Amino acid sequence: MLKQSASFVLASLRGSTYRSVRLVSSLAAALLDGLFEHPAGHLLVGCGSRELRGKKMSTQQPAGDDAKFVRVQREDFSVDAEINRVRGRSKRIGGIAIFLGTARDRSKGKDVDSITFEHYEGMAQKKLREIRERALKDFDIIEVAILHRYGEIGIGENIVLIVVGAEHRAEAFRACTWAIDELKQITPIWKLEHTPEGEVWVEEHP
Amino acid sequence: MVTVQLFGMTKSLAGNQYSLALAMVNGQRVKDLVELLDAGYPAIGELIHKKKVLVSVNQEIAHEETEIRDGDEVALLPPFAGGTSAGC
Repeated sequence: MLKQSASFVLASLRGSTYRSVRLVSSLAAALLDGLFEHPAGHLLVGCGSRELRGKKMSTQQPAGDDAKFVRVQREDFSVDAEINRVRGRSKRIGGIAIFLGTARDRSKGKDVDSITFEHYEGMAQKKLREIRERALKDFDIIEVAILHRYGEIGIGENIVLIVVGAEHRAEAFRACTWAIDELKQITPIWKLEHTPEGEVWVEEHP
Repeated sequence: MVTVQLFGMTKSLAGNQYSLALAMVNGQRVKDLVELLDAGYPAIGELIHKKKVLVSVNQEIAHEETEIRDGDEVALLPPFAGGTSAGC
């Protein structure tokens, strides 16, 4: 069985290793983005259906939302910044579930020195956007961010992050589990493990 | 002529090429492409027959009857890194 090192961190709003100044600036950016991205949503003041209306619009959201909440990137990401980006979407969010996948030093009983991820540019982003849209449509959640890194990733480093914000935890957990499972099934991303014995494309999945 | 993008192990199987230029005419189908691969790159062809490698056309998984037209984006997709839901 292929086991990728991972930390399942639930509603992890504490335990940051990042500097607070960075967190504050990301939060400010998220709030500013919120002001500019969803004018229709912000017109619905004091109305319980605000988030629901936002959800119905999810499949027609401007490209800007996809670019913020769905990213395939070489550089590392800040878990705190991404949590705050999701949290900044709505004051109705009462639970945030996250999945963070990290690079493990063992695979099928063999040592791994580092991992290189390759992706199909364009299709990978398209599949992640589909996952976000389906999650917003099929679960009672308010926002979901999906990030995946590519390039060479050292042991212990971040690989993939799912952040789900919902009113209540149960749907946040459900959507988070579904999103990472779906990502692994349909997203064209490949893993090359660098081991003491050489390089191996991970291709078998029992 | 169609350019087929290669990813993961299919690059190694094609002699470390990032893409293949295959002689196809407008409107031929994925099964015709697989025939060309069987002839030129039998190891890749075999993996397609075993459904370990998928063919995509315009960033969607194709089947053997899918038409390939001029300008279409064609790629060979080996098994994704995530695999099964038990992967992580």
